[in-house]
Amino acid sequence: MNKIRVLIVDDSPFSQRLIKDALKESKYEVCGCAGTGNDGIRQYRELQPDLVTMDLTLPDMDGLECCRELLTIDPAGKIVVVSAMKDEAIINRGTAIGVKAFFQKPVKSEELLLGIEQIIKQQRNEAGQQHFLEYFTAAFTKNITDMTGMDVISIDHSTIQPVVSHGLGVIIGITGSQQGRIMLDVSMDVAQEFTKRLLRTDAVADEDVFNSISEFTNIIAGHSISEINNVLKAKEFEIRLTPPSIIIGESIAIINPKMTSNTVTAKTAIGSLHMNVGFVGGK
Amino acid sequence: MDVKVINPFIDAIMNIMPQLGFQNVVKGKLSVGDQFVESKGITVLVGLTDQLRGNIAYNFTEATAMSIASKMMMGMPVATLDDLAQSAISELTNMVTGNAATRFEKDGLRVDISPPSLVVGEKFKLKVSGAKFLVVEMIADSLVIELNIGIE
Repeated sequence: MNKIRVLIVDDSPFSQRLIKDALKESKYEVCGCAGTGNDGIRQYRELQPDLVTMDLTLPDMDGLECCRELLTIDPAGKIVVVSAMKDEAIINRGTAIGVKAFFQKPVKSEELLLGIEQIIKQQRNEAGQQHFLEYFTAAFTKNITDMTGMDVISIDHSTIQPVVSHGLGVIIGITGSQQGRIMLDVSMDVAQEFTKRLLRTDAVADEDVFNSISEFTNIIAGHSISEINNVLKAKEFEIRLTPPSIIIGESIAIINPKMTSNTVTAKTAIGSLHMNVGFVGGK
Repeated sequence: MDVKVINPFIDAIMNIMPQLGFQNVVKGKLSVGDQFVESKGITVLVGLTDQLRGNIAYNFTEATAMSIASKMMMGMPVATLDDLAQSAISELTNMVTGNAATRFEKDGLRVDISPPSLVVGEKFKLKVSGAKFLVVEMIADSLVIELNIGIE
């Protein structure tokens, strides 16, 4: 496995040394040390490290300002703050900018390693979450057929971001050991036709459509999560769902800044249904 | 729905906005919404589950969202709601909801929250949990954030 390359931005040689010592373990490599914010930005561009440790008091700029600059260069950058100051306001301001974790000096080696490990693990976890999609896709296609009697003619996958609604979108949040969301999205026409088939009737009111499509989404989400919870087994890894919310309107974008998501489109006799599933990494 | 459920959200905003650089944070109008939340342009949805289940829709105009994002990023000019600004606004709703969840927990109610979904468009409406929902306006340095709180 490749080493995790770390850039240290800290004006104190003593602190640089402590962090270096903490990261002595073989899977890390300190690829650079910067004593000023501007030098940190320059080295970040040049070295493209996997992770940055940032001090908050730098001689030429505020450490959070430097974090913001780095995240403007690379919005996916992973930055942890290691500073003498650590209070709620700093944590909230830093989190708002995109800082992943906060440590107070003098940082204990085990604490820093554990924190960094979790951030890196989260990234790897995203790969593992990819196969959760299989459970959602299975529940999606099975329930279309079971609940309406229609066949799914074909299935398409897409990762186009942001997701743009076709008219009616139902969002259900995923929480617990994995965080994310599932969204079912259809045009109003498809929603109406689909509801007629679900309710086995020829005329449906808007209210029926909203209720039916949200319940259909709830069923898909519930089935998928149950399967995944069976696989994850331990109670502490349990995943839970939040209640559905509905978005009505055309050409609207649904954005989850930290999330990579997949859209599965099922083609049926009455048109296409789109299911989008995304995760943001484990807790 | 018990009107008291809005208090932890109000307290959360009162607590967090000053930390992000806002000076004057006050509570505005309180009302009850029926059926649909009409979006002002940017609406962020956050789900709640466990002992309190529902959805919160944070509603902003685009100009307000950009001003808030700019302040959160220490005054960096925000001309469009780009990735960084979207991320800041999402994070704000995440912090507020998380902070409110901690307050519910202190009152003996376990609440778990979903990641935020930012919804952007010219004209759309939303349904949160329940036909009736609570609407409270919070005003931070004359920027209006409308919270629509629907609990099952």
